[in-house]
Amino acid sequence: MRDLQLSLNQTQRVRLEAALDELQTVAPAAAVTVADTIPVNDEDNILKGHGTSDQDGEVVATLCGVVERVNKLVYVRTLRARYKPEVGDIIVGRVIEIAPKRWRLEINFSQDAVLMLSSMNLPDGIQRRRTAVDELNMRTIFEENDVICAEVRGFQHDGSLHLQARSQKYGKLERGQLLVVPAYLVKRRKQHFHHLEQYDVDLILGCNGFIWVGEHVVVGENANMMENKLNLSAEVENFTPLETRKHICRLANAVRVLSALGFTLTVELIIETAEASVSSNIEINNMLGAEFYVQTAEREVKRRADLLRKKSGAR
Amino acid sequence: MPLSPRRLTASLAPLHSPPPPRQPPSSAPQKTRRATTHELIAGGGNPSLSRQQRLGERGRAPPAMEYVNPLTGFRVDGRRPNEMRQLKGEVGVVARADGSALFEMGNTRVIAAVYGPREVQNKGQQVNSKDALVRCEYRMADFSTGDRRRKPKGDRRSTEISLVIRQTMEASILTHLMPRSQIDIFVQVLQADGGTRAACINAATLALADAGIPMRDIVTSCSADLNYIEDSAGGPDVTVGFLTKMDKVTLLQMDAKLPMDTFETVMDLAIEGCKAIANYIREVLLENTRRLECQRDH
Repeated sequence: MRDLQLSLNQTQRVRLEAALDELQTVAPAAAVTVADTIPVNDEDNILKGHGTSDQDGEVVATLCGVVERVNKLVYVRTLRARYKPEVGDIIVGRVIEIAPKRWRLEINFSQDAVLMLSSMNLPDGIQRRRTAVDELNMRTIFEENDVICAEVRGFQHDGSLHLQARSQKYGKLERGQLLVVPAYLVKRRKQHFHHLEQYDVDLILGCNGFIWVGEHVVVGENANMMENKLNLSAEVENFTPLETRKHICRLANAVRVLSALGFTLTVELIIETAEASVSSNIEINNMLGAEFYVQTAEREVKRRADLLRKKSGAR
Repeated sequence: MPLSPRRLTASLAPLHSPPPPRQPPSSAPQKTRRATTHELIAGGGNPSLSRQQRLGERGRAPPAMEYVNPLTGFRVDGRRPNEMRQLKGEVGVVARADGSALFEMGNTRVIAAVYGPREVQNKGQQVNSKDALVRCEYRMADFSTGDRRRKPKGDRRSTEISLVIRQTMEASILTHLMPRSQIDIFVQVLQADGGTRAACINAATLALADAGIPMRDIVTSCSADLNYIEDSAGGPDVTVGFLTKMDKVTLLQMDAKLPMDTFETVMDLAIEGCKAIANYIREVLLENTRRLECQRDH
């Protein structure tokens, strides 16, 4: 497997293989590879989308993936590829450079994303023109190597990707872990910010495959009310309680296991995996071991089979 | 998931003088050199001529070693004259890379890692901002050959092979789809036994496909050449790069002179080999894609 170096024993290997085979039989996928011909009806004039090209009148795939058809559009959905931004996506990125009036972020795209000073809210919350002083003080907002959450604003004329962070919920992420998973494992949903109250943890599933697991921070109007309280106990607040840290690690390891297995990451699945590790008394560090890995695979297979049975039962 | 090593016995030119049938060592240990090294050789043309004689024709001093044993009909490493090496390919072997692959052709073993498309690191190298910049670095591990010696990084041989791989891959990558970015291909030879160039190109193709980089076609390469012992003795070596779907040759390298008629048979053999490799690569990729898609939730 890609990220985890596991040494499975014989039994575990057999179990894992059985589980993965089961997955393939549950829902066999129609995959294409580079230079495969995609069968289309010649009568209907089709639109060729991403990952296809025209060679001698045939539609040929230029990528490995799954063929998707939407009305007349035929395209290939890739699996292991870099992130393809869409306007409005919530992403997590890392600052790699501070340039005049802008930060450059690494977001697993084919080029660095740009976050302009003018397209983010200032910490004081006042709407005004950004001055030269603001520009000089950019490092007080974000420094190099800071992890940031932002939204995709769109492509500029020159082809560069611009971000924006015009809300309290965006901004610097602190006291947590950043996990990098393949982008295809994160699906676009209505909600990408999750506050897991039972753990006091924030979980941000960035569309670009960067996942943030960190201590919960209060945002929005409540934040101002809390401000006074916070100042009083600033020293206490700078310290993340041990319990929360353990929760962060447990959730982070759940994400690691799931991404190594190549399962789509949803909040429910991550929480379920973390809960399962608690209920079967697995230490946080043992979550990355072979046994839990195989167990997770088996549990997921069972879950999907149940789901399928329910669906067919309903019919 | 390691794919079971499969044997592609070359269904190439018919064997005129079939050697005694050998049990295919399906369960034979990989380590034995005899069992695994299968290779394509430019021997399909005229079987009555021994390799040595043909070399003699070219007006070269016959090498000290005979490539095909006249008694058994086998080559030094135990293959039939035009048998292909055993292929093995695996994707996703380097965790941090965007795409990676391990490719084995007989005893030749190559690992390739692809990073990108990513931001151009050295803006000076960027020639055209509308296209992706493709870079390639080839390196032979110090332990890859019999004599372990430190090779300087930028020696002529590796610079040349880097260039060859880069040009071959660039021809198939749709660079215009990834403007203002660069793609780095790192290829390392872990074990060299002849045909490294071909193995490198195949590994790079697999790794690029794994990285989800759009390509016109699968480039495969096959060399009608020699294993390490034979190569050292100085025989001809023809490497062919081939776009399977389009039926186009993108690379042709020869390290020795060959007469025209021999060349044609050699070329045909190499192209046959390329096609066989393309089939194998497609199988590997399809299997991998299918597995990834199945594991993903629906």
